[in-house]
Amino acid sequence: MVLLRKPKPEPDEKWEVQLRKGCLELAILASLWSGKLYGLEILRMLEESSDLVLAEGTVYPILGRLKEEGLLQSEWVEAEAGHPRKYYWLTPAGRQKATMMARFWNGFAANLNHLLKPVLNGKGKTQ
Amino acid sequence: MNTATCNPMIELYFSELESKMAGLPKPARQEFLQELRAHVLDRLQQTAEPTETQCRAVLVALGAPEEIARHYLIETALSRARRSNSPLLLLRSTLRWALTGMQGFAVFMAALVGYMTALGFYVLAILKPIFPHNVGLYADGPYAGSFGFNFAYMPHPHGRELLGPYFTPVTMFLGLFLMQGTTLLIRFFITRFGKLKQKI
Repeated sequence: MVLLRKPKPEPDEKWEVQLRKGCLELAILASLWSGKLYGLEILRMLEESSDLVLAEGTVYPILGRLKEEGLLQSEWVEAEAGHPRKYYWLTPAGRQKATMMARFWNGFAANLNHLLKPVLNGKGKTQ
Repeated sequence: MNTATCNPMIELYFSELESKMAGLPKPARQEFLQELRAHVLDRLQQTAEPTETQCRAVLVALGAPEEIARHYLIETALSRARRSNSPLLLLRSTLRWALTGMQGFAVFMAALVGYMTALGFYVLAILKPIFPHNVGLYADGPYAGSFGFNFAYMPHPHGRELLGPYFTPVTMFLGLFLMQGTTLLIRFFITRFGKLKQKI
């Protein structure tokens, strides 16, 4: 795996940053849907499926807060790597919240996409 | 994996991070740092002998220590307040909450009123021995029905003061009661309804 990742495109509008930050929590919960992961694995999943992560270090405080809120649980696991890793998984409350957020996102995105169709098609009246 | 070239840079980074996170309780802080260290080591393990450039890239991708520490403080602020007895910490947390909406504002006002009234009772308790006739709970006389401190010049007793020698202990008790009561009430509100919208 390449250590130096390809440079991310600069967000040229603050809006993009806002959008990413707003979705980060849902993305983190969703990444844990299928099994236990540690921080770096969560980051890799987020990077693969989206361009969500700005500074990697900001994911860890959110993981801590989600655990405080009872949505996640964690444990340290010894690895052959030599240093232990902190694995996270969803609690029942976490699964519930993830489902709720995912459904909301779906509905929200569907409505917005509907609105955006003419914009993306490039059609429409010119003033 | 040999991180010899990286170690000084890494240690510098983490010592800066640790000092920026001094506001967090020690066990939590230690665990966060351990997790971030594991992250850095995992990232570096992908190369046998990481160069200085590669190390720097890993730390830069992780983020500036001030930013990470700031996020930790924000994310844990409400949970720390939930467990705290300190009126100042609770006021500060509810003030932050107040800035995010009406709910937080109402709780902040409740905290402010509760603590200020408690403070008022303490002040009365202290003033009684100094100005015995200006302070009291009066049932008769020109100041009947009043409870508190009167700024007029009053060298002589007037009317019937209900509490007598018990005024000071009663007001001290009321102050303490209100202080504790407000703390418990605010902590309850934070636990039930508290949501600190992260400053985006």
